[in-house]
Amino acid sequence: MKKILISVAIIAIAAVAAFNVNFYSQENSLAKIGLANVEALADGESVSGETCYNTITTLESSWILYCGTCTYLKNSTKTLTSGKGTC
Amino acid sequence: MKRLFFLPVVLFAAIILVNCRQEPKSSSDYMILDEVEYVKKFPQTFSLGNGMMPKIDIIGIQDFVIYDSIMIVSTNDKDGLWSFVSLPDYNLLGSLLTKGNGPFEFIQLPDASLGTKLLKENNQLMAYIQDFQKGRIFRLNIDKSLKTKELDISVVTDSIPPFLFNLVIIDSTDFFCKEISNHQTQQLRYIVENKKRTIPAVLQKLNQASVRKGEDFNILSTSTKMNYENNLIVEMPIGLNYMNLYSLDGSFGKTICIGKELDNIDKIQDKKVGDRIYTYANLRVFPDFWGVVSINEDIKTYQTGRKKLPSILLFDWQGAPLAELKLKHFITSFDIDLKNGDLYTFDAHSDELYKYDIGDILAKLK
Repeated sequence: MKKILISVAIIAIAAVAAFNVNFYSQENSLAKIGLANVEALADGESVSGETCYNTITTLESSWILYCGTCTYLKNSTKTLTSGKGTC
Repeated sequence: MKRLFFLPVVLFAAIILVNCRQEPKSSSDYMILDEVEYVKKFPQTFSLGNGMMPKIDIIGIQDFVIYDSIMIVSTNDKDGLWSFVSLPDYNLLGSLLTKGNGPFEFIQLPDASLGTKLLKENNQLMAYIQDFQKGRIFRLNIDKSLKTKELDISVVTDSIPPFLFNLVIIDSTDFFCKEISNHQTQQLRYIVENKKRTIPAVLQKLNQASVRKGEDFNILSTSTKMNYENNLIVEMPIGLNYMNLYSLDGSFGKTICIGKELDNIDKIQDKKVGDRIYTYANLRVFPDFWGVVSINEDIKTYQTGRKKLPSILLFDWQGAPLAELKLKHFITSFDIDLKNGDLYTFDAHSDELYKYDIGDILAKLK
């Protein structure tokens, strides 16, 4: 009986350890994705076919791609009734 | 026998608890640091009166910032985007910067309070200004330009990326940058140091936060500022109920959550856009403390007719709450004239600028 209980404890510890290894490797992958994105942008890669918005309103620290100019505008957001377009 | 049975169960539960504590919620759903502090109450609360409207003869104010005894007001006047006003007498000292496509002109109005570094060099007031559409940084000698009525300006760099979501000018060669990822699901922070890009560990951690493809990336948007005396950076999200205070070298880092629970980015995306909360607006930093405007209103109400009066939340540079200033007007930004003990608030929707004498409150913060 004692052996069985010790075995259960070992399996439990192993299960948690395995979960942790998986968890941290996911974190590292995400960090790598972030780095890859920055490097892609650094190389001057442009994004086309982005969704833009026709009607905007003031909202500090918010950004919006405005269809009128096809540029990002600072401190602005779409209105809730705004139509969409593509730049 | 019973003890033997419970031993592995207790051991298992203990291991799980320890694991949850070490890495509480580090994933794409939380833009947080390892240490999270929850603020449920502020040690001091002050209800401000009605304030007074200062007689500043400037139309179309967009933004303002105070440095020493000068208020810099940005407007949409294409022939003078920045106006300079002396405090506390409100004398108009002049206007500088123009709109246009010329070598020292701006297509979009540069923010006076964000992406700009104000400092004294050789006893002259200088501004390092971001031209975010062309990826340039200018160095403007404000004092000399106002005195000679000729723009004393030069290009510091023309090689930072355009359309940065955040820029902090650390010095003339080093910059904190934040830009949208190419799938528009992340906002990516990095440091440009002598034209070389690095991503310190603390920024890698914050960069993990993401939204679903096609979702509103402004859930991740923040205002970012730096205290140049202690080299701490503070980030204030506009749609999350917590702020991040950290050093780039990793020696200090803390997430400050206002409330009992951290906002979950994944769960926010399940809400209708109008039901999402606009949490904070306008971050300002001072030598001894920093503050944000707490809006805490859903976007639909905010856009159609605000109901909740905002407050200004002040924190020290260790992230501890100092005071809550309750307001009787709707505001979107604020700044403090520390020399004269005056708080100024501005509302971008009503264009109303108010002044409050908070000398006594500032004394109580020390």
